[in-house]
Amino acid sequence: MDNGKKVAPEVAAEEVNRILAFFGLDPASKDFAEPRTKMLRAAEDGRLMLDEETQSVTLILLCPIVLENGKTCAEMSFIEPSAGDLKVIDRYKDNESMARTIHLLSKMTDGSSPIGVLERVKARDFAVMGAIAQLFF
Amino acid sequence: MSGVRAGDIRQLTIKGREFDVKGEDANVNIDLGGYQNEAAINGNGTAYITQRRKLAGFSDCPLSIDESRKDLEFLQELADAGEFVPVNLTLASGVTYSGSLIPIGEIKKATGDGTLALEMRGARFEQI
Repeated sequence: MDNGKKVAPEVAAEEVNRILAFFGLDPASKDFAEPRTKMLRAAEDGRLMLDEETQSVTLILLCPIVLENGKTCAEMSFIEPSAGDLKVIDRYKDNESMARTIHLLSKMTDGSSPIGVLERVKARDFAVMGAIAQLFF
Repeated sequence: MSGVRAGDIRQLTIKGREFDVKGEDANVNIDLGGYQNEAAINGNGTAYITQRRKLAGFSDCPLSIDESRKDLEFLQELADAGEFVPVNLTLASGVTYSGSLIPIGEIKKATGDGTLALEMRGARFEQI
């Protein structure tokens, strides 16, 4: 691709639509226009993909996180939160929306990415994660 | 450097399940593993050290047990399985410790305050 993108726009759009449709959402809905745009950018970079078998969305991080133990967290996979997971939203005040989103995203990784690691995610990656979380509430 | 050096446990996940850790007077002990030393003295006045490996993990973690989702049964099943499971513990400072641990000791809930004092051990429990 001569525009710096790894995936053709139409292929990326197809993948994002596939993700939305998989979770029962209307890809054409205006409600998801903003998260869709953010997900589309990641998909065009080849960093966003749906795994139908595990029913998860995987994001390859633009800025991998180097952990204190020397390992690197290069990607995170998110599953649909359960109603019990969504209860964490009630624990936070209105002015704690970021902490609320981080906690919910941690639950959506099925516990594999704790809060302390998610807090180190760079803003560009976090924007896409936020878009993924928006699909479910 | 974080100014927060003590406080509540912000998050504890055991095999993917997040547990509520009681706040207030909770005082969880974290052990990184490694070695522990014993020093003794010889009859001629010289000293010697016995160094032994010790397990990593944490103890005295007061979990608030949710019976509706069978927290107690979940933990007992982990103990019964006898296998190490992934554990992440995030402190008030935001620092997270991670390792493969197994429940140690008795798994029992105190009905008075609804808590279970959990101890888990493994080979490593390190910052991530």
